[in-house]
Order: sequence, then structure tokens, then C-alpha cells
Amino acid sequence: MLHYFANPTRFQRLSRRVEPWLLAGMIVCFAAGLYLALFSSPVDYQQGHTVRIMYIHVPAAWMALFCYTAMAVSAAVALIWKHALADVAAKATAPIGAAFTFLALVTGSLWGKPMWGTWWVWDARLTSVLVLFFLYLGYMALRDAFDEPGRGARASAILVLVGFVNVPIIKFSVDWWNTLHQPSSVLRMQGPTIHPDMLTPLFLMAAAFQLYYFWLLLVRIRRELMANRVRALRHRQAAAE
Amino acid sequence: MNNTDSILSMTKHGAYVWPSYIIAAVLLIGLVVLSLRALRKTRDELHNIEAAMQKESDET
Repeated sequence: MLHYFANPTRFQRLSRRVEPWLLAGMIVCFAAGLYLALFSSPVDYQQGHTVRIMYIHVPAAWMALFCYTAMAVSAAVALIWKHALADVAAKATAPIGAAFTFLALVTGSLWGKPMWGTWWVWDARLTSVLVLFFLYLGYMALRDAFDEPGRGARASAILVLVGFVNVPIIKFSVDWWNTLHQPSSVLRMQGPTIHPDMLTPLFLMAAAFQLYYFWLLLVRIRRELMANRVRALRHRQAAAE
Repeated sequence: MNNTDSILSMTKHGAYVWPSYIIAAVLLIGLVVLSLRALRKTRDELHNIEAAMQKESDET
């Protein structure tokens, strides 16, 4: 299955067919999610309206971890099986993951000021997410630091795999250490502690962010495949001259 | 929330809530614009190279 769609022409054909559906789903989820998040969901009895930041902050933080995990899996597949499309997927994911991580950090800061009385604290959760952001930036910088693209891809794939140790640290940081950040209130064994009126917009926004990722990933992969073809043709032209 | 004023101001918390949504919109839409612009540029580049190669092979 994976090898079947690894063919760039086949992948592009499938991608063009799937993209409109992802885009439509994303628009519907964003419209419904934003309406509920901003206008219809209840105000928190302690946090007041600042609880509305949760509908951006939490899905962004989930996506920051999801994108890094997707990048690590793609990098491993590219390294072990020399799967060209997996390498392209890792490269295409990095800026999207970096954007979600930046968004989680900034919205966390905007939520922290009225609730904790500070924009930032160097506690385990916040610091490990900042490290995740630097891992994304490091991956993108390292990838482009080599003249030969293959060497850049290998070096950056190793960086992603080493950096993956940070993902469980982020997830369990609120359990392992005393932090200002609250513990998990949605993804927990005993079930969510949030009221369904708040869970619905949260899940809709999470679905919107997920669909945004998959749609943009396909667009960026198509661009990367075209760029690879441009490089190959330029090489052929240069060799013929 | 029953009136427009409270929706916009969100009492004293609007100063934190609205920037969160505005930054999210700018970031996510900006990334889409950059990605689509890069896709269009690369597609044009590819078409130009393929057209030039086709022309070359037709001449020879």
C-alpha cells in the first residue's frame, strides 16, 4: 500500500482528488468550531472569558506533538527503507509543526498572564515545549545546511529521531514534576474533566487543525515533488551541455 | 453573552482572547499563502523547463 502511493505521479493524482474534501471538511469544522468557541460556549466560573483561549491553545499543542511524531515516523521510514516520499513528508511537515508549536507557546503566554499573573515561567511543560520549537527550527536549518540534499536529509532525520525523546517528556512533564501548568484534563484514563459544552468546540477546533495539517501537508508534498523534478531536469540539462 | 459589547470586550479578558485568535489566523493563513505561492512558482518553473526541453527536442 505504502509503496503503491510512493510513486510521485500516482501520489499527485490521489492528492489532487483528496485535497478538496479535506479543505471542505476543514472549513466546516473551523466555521462551527469558531462559532461555538467564541459565541456559544459557556464562560468558565473561575477563568471567565479567558477559557476561550483553550480552543486555540490546546489543539495547537496537540498538533505540535502530532506533527513532531509524524516527522519522526517519516524520518525513520526514510532512513531505514530509503523511502523518498517519507523524506519529503518529513520536510513538508516541519514548518507546519513549527507554526503550531509557536501558536501553542504564544497563546499559552496570553492565557498565563491573566490566570497565573505571568507571561512565562521556566517550568517543565513550558520549557520542554520551547525545546520542541527549537527542534523544529534546528531540523529546518540543518536540512538546508548541506550542498548535497541527501546528506542534509540524513543528518536532519537523525536529529528528529534523537529529539523525539522530548515528546513523552512534554506529555508527562505535568505528572513527573511540579509545574504551574495544569495536568491533562481531556486525554486521561478516567475520561475528560471538561463539560461537554466546552468539549464540543474543543474537538471541532482540534478536527479543523488536523484537517488543516493534512490538507497543507498534501499541498506542500506536491510542491516538494515538483521541486525535485525541477532539480533533476536542471541536472539533465547541465549534463547535456 | 447577550449583546455585541460583551462579545467584543469579553469583560476585561478580550485583550488576551482576541489576540490569541488573531495571531492564530495570521499564522495559519500566512502559512497557506506562502505554501500556495511556492507551489505556483515551482509549477511555472517546471512547465517552463519542460516546454524548453520539448522545444529543444523538436528542433533536433
